[in-house]
Amino acid sequence: MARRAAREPQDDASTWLPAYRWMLVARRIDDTMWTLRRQGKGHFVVSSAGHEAIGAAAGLAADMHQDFLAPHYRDLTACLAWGLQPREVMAHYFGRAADPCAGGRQPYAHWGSTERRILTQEGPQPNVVTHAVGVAFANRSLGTNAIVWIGFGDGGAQKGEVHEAMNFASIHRLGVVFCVENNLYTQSVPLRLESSVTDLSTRAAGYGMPGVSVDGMDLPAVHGAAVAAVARARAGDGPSLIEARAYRYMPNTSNDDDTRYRSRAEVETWRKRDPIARVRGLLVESGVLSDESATALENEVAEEVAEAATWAEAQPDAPPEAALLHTWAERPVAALAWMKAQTV
Amino acid sequence: MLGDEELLPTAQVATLEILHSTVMKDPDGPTFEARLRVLASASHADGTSVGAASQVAQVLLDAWKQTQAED
Repeated sequence: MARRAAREPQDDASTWLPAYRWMLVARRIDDTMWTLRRQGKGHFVVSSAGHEAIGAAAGLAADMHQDFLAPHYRDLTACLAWGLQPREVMAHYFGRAADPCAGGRQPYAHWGSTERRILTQEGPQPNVVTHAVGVAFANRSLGTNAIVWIGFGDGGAQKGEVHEAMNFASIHRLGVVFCVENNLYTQSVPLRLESSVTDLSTRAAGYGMPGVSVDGMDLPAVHGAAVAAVARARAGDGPSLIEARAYRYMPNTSNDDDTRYRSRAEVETWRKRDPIARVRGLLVESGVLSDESATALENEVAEEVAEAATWAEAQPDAPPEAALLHTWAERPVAALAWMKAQTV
Repeated sequence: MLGDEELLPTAQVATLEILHSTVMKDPDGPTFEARLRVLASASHADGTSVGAASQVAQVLLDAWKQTQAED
């Protein structure tokens, strides 16, 4: 099976170019969804703005031909890196039949794709961590060296299943990367009221695995940690914990009013550390892109996302028969072949 | 949903109706089937969300019966 090796950013700044595009697409999709929501055309929005560098680093470090993604609900960029297309993301947002994640049955940000090895996202967070460790255990049993990248939030990190997952993964030296995306808030609750420690990576020591805290809005910083963790996992040396510190620019979801618990000045301060602007700076300073070509790329992405939104909005809803599709173990009902022919 | 239910995609409306009426009540098999029958007997005249759920409930009911027969 063909594999793409992890890229070495020190050698060539063009390494960041695909990551920059994933990040641009993610941000543009994010902006588009908020606009559609305000226009009364779309429903539930979960924003990834501010988290883009984390998923992009994971995408660069992983092997897209075999590795698994157990995404955090803010991991739109990682899902794009793992192969989701803007049309598919927008179909997921509108809940249409063309939604590859759930056939329209799940609200936005409930990622999932069997063919791309993206584990299904559950509502209760972060249940996916234990499932992902199970996948890693299966990988071991199957004799592959595929790894599983697991994303979860700082709020999720306080839950019991994270302890169980990290403990089990370390005992069995599974090929797993735990990445906690610490954006300082669990919905409206600040970190100081949800965690007894401020450096979440220190918890790794309790499980006998390496842990590192990095600036999650700095692509090269996250990438360096990601490459090391993926290499360790792939070599059979066991899991690692990465704490990627980021900040979400938008409310927790479209059902949240973040002015109740954080100031506009705080948000604006973090916006000055925008991960996308920083990657753009790297590319322009290194000569990989000029200001003009960077702007051209941004315009190209804007057009692609606008087209995807228009396309997705016009797509049909799933037929009732599709209720039996998009499951990991489809029942062998007689009508299944017919239903697949109707909906795929 | 903060009064914006009308924006919910149809498939999610149907899913929520069915989940709340069936598995979230933790029913046994006969009760599950009975609740599906009730939903499947509804129509769009009973409202948009129940109408969408009724169509899906009929599909699930058919599949349920088939698997019961196979077992």
